[in-house]
Amino acid sequence: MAELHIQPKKPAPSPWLLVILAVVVLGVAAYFFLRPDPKDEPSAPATSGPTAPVADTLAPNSPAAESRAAVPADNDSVTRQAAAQPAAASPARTVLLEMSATLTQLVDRADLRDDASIREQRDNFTSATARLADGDPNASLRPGFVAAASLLQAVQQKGYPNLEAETNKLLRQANQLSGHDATPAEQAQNKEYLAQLSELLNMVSYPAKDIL
Amino acid sequence: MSQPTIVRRMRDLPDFEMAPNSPDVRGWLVRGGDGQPLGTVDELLVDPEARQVLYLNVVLEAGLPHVPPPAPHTDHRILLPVAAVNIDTEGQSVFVTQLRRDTVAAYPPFVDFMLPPDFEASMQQALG
Repeated sequence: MAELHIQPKKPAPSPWLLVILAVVVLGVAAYFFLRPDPKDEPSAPATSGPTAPVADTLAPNSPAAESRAAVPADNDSVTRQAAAQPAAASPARTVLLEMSATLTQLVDRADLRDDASIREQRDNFTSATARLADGDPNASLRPGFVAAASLLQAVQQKGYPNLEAETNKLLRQANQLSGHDATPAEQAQNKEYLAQLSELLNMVSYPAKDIL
Repeated sequence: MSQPTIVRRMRDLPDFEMAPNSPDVRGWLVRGGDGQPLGTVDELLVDPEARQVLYLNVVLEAGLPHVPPPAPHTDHRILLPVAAVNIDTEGQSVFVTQLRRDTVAAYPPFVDFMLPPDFEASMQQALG
């Protein structure tokens, strides 16, 4: 004689439990994919390059003027760096690319990186120098020059009001450049601009309280 | 006075399933004492309180001797008490030894889902 039995079905897990689980999984995934890249974190500035040490390493009481006096003459550094590069790369292009690292580190400083205008100008600068960094021989230097001057102007407007005249002059200077580095006249203009850019970069490398 | 047993169709109980050691015999062949097929299990009638299958609702094959043809668009059905059958799990067949193809015509047909009070007695009497 047969016997057949039935039983209640085991309750399925609550749909809300599945929803919560999905949200947790999405949250964890978003955390790992969207967290700030360690490379984007502000780091200690590089000690090599055409510019002087950056402000964060400066003792708070040291006067900026003294520190600036210790910086080697930038016109000389332009010449030295150009000599070290292959013949295909112009001196101005080389110096601009080397300065781009320092500029990028500068605008990553805690008091500057959250400013929308600075971020925008930084993006412009990165775009303008991308072709130069790729080694495109036909790329004009002018967009990079103008973007660098604009970026420094944004930094000046953020915390260095007494450098307004210098940054305005630098921007005018950048706009007047041809963007080429072929003739001696162009090289001289570029060198002058880069020297001015380097000097201003040194100034804004120090905290504003040391400059003001 | 005892509570009447409420019999339900298994398909009407979506919150129930077959217990682990109880095969779901729906669709299995029903064979008589001579091993010949009589029909197919179409539905299980269960007692949810006791959690037991009480009857098999069997659709009889067409052309059985002495069984009148069903009305158009209907089947000829019988109920078999589970206690009166043997289950061959490997062969997926249900055996009811007291019936054969030539005697099933005397078995009370199941014409409605409502079970008359004397229907159980009629089945038991037919099964001897």
